[in-house]
Amino acid sequence: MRTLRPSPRRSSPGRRLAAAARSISILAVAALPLSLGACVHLIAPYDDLTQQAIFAAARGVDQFYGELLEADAGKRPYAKFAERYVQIDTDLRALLLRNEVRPLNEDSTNIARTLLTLWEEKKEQHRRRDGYPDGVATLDRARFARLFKYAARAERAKPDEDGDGGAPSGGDGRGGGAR
Amino acid sequence: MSFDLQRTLERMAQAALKAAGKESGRATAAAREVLEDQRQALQAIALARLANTIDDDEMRRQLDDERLAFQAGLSMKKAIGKAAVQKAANAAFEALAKAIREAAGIV
Repeated sequence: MRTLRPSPRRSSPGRRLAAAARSISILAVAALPLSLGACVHLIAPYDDLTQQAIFAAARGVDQFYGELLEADAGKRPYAKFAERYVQIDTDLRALLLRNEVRPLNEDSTNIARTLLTLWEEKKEQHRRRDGYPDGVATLDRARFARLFKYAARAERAKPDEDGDGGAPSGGDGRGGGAR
Repeated sequence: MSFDLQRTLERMAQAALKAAGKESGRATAAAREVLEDQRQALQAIALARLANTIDDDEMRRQLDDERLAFQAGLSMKKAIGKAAVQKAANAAFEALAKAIREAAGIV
């Protein structure tokens, strides 16, 4: 029958040395990725070109409605505005694509897709009735302005490439505010 | 060399809370703004219908459009929320990295 005997143990200084070596190796492994700047990514970084594209498209749509509402309510045939529709449609498709290709960017992509969906819907309605009443245009103009505001706010909230937080509250705090 | 795990966790939590405190205010403000926008938009549609500047069919279309706009507002709020969580998490990791660097003497 075997008896349990205490296994030979290292001397106290030896144990301390081994423990220290273990701690150092664990800390070194943990510190390596952290010192390399590893950080949590939940959302795409801020993109100034996208922000500029949002403001440019917002300006185009607002100008479209400004000119439409200036025209006599009875003289707003679709053909008169067809070219502008195509131009803005192209801008909104480019904005959607710019958002779609960026990883971790589904929220901004959803907003851009909504903008395009509504724009195409308005275009189709204008074509069908060959007119655009004041009451409808006023409501649609306000909604588009709101959607562009949401798109710009979502972009502005994104952290910079280095992972730092978004723009300071209040003003945009970044470039791309050209309107 | 010593590494105080408890103290490090406290420092991580403090860093995260400090970062999150500022950012979560933005997310809450965004949610309030979306709701207020929605209220004003629905009121404008109702007034337009009462003033007969739009008919029933158009009112229904407008309400459908508002549903999409509201979802877009929620997407904005989500983006702001994600940015806030990311900032808080990274502040916590930075505190951890600092504690490890200090303990390892790599400062």
